[in-house]
Amino acid sequence: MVAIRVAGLVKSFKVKLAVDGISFEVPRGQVCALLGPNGAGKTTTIQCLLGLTLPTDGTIEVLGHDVVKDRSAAIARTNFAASYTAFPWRLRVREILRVYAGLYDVADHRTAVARSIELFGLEELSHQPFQSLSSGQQTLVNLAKALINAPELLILDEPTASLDPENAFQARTVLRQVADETGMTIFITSHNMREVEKVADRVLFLSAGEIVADAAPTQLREQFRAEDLEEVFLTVARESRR
Amino acid sequence: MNRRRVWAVVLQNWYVMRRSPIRIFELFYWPVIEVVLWGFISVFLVGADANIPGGVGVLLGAVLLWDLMFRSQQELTITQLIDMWDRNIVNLYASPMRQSEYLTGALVFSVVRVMVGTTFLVVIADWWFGFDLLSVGAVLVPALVTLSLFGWALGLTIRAAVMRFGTNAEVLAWSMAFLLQPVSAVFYPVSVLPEWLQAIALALPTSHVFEAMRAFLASGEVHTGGLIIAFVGSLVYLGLAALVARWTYGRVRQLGLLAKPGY
Repeated sequence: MVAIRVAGLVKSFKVKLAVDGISFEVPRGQVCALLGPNGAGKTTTIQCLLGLTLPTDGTIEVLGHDVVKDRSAAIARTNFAASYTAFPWRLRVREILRVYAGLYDVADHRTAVARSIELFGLEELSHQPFQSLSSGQQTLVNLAKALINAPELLILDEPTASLDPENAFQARTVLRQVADETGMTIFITSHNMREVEKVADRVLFLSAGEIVADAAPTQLREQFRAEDLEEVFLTVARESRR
Repeated sequence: MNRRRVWAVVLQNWYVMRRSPIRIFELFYWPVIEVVLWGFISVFLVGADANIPGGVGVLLGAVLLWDLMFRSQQELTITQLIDMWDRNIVNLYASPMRQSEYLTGALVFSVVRVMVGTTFLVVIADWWFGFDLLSVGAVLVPALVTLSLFGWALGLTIRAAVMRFGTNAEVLAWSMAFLLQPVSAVFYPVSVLPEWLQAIALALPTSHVFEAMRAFLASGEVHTGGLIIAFVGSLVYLGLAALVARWTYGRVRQLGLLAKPGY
């Protein structure tokens, strides 16, 4: 079973080619990381997966649904978190989760909200307005929202960018635990190579809109004769600049 | 259309309003100022024995009905602007919520706010200045429906502009209705306008509604033809606005603008 199927995805913006005909499949249950230097096309790929941006060419299937033709059905069992998004500033954490439970069509919103709050240890913050939280706490709320509908596919765009090491560890642990327990697929972009090495089963390296490597983290280290993923990243980034 | 998602949009707007004193304050402040201002102008004109066809109640009736149209437009637009200001828009559009559900939720919330605000103004106008909106008689219901539809058409168009051009276009939420006010015959008949402006005025449903209101207050005559033109015109404008909104939604997805909050 495939969670994500991308075939010949091209996205161009006027003069800029952001994604240049990439194809890949992510099997269900896999934690797949999409890595690459700034401007490689990671966020554009994620936006296309979510149907926020329409592809110039190619097809995208999410959980068996064509994202362009049937976006709402494709995204219904998916969720998303990114470091650059926020929520209505005056809303309490519990209210935010209640609203998003509705948007994701969760029937038992009380249980879902309580579960998300518990998973990320947000009990003490649940009655605080979003604007009063630190950026790290806001990120945790974003992640709690991302699990509100017990998604089968979780798409994360640099989700832990503003977290301190302890909170990042907690977030990683929760996400990995939920993925192991439920078989949830995770598709993640990150610039934190240690994080990727810890959570990802597979890494796709994107450079100048093309996939230049696709393997498990250990295989990539061997392939590039590198000590860790960071060295792999640097090698790929430098090659792409030449 | 998924009712749970529509309700979630309504609920979010309710939470935002409940937590935002300014959203409650603005519901009453400007409209009350308008009614009080025009109420005293009316009192002055009565004292000066001014000859106004339909009596001075015409001015207060016009203020109340214009406010309904303006609010219908503004409420629909502001619900979207708040999501942009709060950078909530990416999370919203990344959810399975359809554009139609977002719009319907905003519309339901807007209608409730407009009803509350208008009822308050009607009570103020009656209590302070003795003007009963029901005196508009048979014109009242068609006027309310037509002006609401036209307000939604404007609101939808401005939402599309905000979606395409980001918060650069937010000024339209406050200015668009005032641009149309001089040619909407709100306080004076279309006949006082120069000919070229009369052509524009007659193309707007608002001018037909206010002409019908004045005619009824002056002679008790119902301008059925004008009201039908206004109603059908509003439906046409609403249909066009829906097409513009739909096209714009596709266009901003092509341009990748949905994921750039505020642009």
